[in-house]
Amino acid sequence: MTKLDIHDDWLPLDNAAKIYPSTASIKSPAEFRMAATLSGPVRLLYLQSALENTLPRFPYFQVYLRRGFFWYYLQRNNKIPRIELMQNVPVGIISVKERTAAMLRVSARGSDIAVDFSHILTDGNGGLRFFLTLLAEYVRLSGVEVSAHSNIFDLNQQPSPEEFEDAHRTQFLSGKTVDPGKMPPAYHVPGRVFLSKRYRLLNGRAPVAKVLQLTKQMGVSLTEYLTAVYICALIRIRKEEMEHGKRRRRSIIRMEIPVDMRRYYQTASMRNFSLFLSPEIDMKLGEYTFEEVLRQTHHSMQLLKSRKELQRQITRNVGAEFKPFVRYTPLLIKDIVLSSVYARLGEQLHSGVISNLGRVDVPDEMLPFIDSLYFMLNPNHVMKKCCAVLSFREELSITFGSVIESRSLERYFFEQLIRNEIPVSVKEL
Amino acid sequence: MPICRNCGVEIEENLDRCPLCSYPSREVPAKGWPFHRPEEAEPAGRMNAKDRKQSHDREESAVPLESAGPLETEGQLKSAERDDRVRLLFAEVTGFIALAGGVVVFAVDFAYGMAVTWSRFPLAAIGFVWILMSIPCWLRRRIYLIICAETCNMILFLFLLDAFTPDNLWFMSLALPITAGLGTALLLTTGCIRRFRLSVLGSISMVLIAMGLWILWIEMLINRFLDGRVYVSWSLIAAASVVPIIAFLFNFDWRLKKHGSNLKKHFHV
Repeated sequence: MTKLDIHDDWLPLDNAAKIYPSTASIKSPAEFRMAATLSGPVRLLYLQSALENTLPRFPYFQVYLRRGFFWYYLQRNNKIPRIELMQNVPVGIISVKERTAAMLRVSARGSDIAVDFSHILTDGNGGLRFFLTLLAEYVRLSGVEVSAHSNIFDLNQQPSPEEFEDAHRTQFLSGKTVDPGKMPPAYHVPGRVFLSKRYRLLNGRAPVAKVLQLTKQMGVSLTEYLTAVYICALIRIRKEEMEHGKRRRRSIIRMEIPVDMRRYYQTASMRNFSLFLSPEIDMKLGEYTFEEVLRQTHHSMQLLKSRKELQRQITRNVGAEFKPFVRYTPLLIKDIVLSSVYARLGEQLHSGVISNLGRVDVPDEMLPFIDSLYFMLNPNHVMKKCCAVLSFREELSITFGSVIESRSLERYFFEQLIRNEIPVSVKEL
Repeated sequence: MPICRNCGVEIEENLDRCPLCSYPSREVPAKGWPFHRPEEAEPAGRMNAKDRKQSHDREESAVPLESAGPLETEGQLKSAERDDRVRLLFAEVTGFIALAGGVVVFAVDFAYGMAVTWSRFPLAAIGFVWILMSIPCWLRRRIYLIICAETCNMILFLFLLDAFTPDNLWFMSLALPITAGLGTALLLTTGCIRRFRLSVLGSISMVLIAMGLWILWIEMLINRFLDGRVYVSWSLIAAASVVPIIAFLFNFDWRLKKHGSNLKKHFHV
C-alpha cells in the first residue's frame, strides 16, 4: 500500500475517487457546483485575490490529474487558476484528462460566484468548506473581518496531514465481510437527452422551518421526506408511461442518497468521504400511497445508515482496491474494465439521486454579503435528473439538474410539497 | 468601481476591457444581455435564533449517531463459513473427478486382466493432481506448510513414476535432490520476502536469485549423474545473466525508496 507523504509533489487518489477518472465523461460527469448570489456585483479583483490567498491553504485541491502505470495520481502545482466567466450552462465539463486542467474552476458573473469541483478532488462537504473559506476571504478583502467558524479555515494555518488522508483507508476493517449484495437495475425516467452538452436547472425554495415542522410531525428526517417525495414523483411518471402503453418498465425504484461519513467517524479529511444509501421500493408489489412510501423510505434508510452497514460498504470498496489482481493491473486495462463495468452496472442501479448538504452556517459578518447559496449536481445520461439540497438562513434550496426536456419529475415533486402545505417558489437558473 | 455592462462584475477603473469577459467597458451590451440576477424567491417567515437552533438540531438528529462500539465481525464469521463451504465443495468436486478418472482407468485395466502396462501412470498422475489441488484447501494460508506438502507430493509422484519404470535409476540421484532443492529454494525465498518485507521489485529479485542458485544445483546433479563428477558450465552463464537484472531491480527499488516521489508516483499501487 502506498503511504501518503504530504511533502511529496503528488497525491494518490482516495478510494472513492479512483473510479472517476476512468468513468468520467460528458455522459457521466463527476462534478458538482457550489454557488452564491451576493448582495452586490462581484468585485473581480477581490475575488481573484481571495482565490490566490485561499487555494494554497488547500494544497490537495491545487493539483492536476496524471496517469501512472497502475493508478492515476494528483500532481501538485502552484498555479492559481484565473477567475472565469460563468457560462450560461451552469456546470460545464472539467476536462480532467488534459494534462494541466485544473480540477476546480472558479467563475463569476454579475452577483454570482460559483466553484465547480471535480469529484476526484473531494465530496460536497469538502467543497462546501473550501467555498465558504473563499467567500470569507472575499468578504475580508472587502473590509469586513470575519470571525472564526468551523466551516471556515484559517488561511494562516498550515494544512494538517489529516486533511490529506484517505479516510476510507483509515476506517478500513481488515478481513472479509459479506458484500452488500447485488442489486437489479432500477427504473429510469424516459426522455431523449439534449444533443448539446447543455443541461437545465430548476431551483425551488421553501421555508425550512415549515418543512422541518412537517417532517417532525411525520417522524422522519428532512432527507427521508424529500426522498419519499422524489420516489412518489417517479412512481407517477412510471404509471403514466404504463398507461400510455409503453413497454414494461423496470419495477424497482431506487434512490441514491449520499451520506457524509464525517458524521460517523472523527476525521479532518478534506477528500472524498461519502457513501451511499439505496432505499428502494418494488412496484411489482402494488400501488403505494405517499404515506407508505414515506414509511418504507424512513425505515429502510434507518437500517441502511447503521454504522455497521456503512462499515460494510467501506470494507468492500477498500478491500477491492487492495486485491493484488486489481492493484497490479495496468491502468490501461483498468480504464477499459472500469468504464464498461460502471456503464453496465454502476449507473443502472439508481433511478435518481438526492444529495442533502444540510444546514449551511456562516459567521454573522458574512450574512449581509450573501443573498443565497446554491448546490448543484451534474446529472448523468442514465438517471437524467438529479437533486441537490441545502438550507441557508431560513430557506431550503432544492435544485434539480436535468438533461431532458421534460419537467414532469420536478412538477410532481414540488406539487407534493404544495399538497403538504409547504409554499414553494420555483425559478430556472 | 465601474461595473461591466456585459457580465455585471465590478472591475477596476481605467480598464478598457473587462478582464473576465473581455467586453469593452464603454460599449453597449449586445441584445439578449446574458447577465441576469436570479429573481428573489418568495420571502419566507424569519426564524429567531431559538428556532434556527431547533431546526439545526432536528436536521442533525435526523441521522442518529450510533454508539461507536467495536465493530463486530459477524460478517467476517459468515464469510469464513462461506469460505469453508466453498472449500468443502471444491474438495468434493475435485475428489469426485479424480475418483471418476481413477475408476475409469482401473476398469479398463481390470477389463484387460490387469495387463495394461501404462495404467499405473495415469492413476499416479490423477492422485498427484488431486493432492496438488487439495493441499491449498486443506492448509488454507499456511504457506510454509503448503510448500512442504507440495514438495512431498511431487517427490512421492516422481518416486512412483520411477518405481513404475523398469530401470529405476533416476529418482534418488536426480528427482529427489532436484525437487528437494526446489522446495528449499521456495521456502527460503518466501521466508526472505516475508522476513524482510520486500517490495514487489525486491521479491522479484529474490525469486531470480533463487532460480539462479537452483539451476546451478540442477546442473551439478546432472553432471554427477552423467559424468560421475560435480562441475558447472552452462548454468553458470545462465545464473550470471540474471545478475544484471537483479542489480537493476535492486537499484530501481532503492531509488524508489530514496528519491521516491518521481518514480513512486508513476508506479504506486
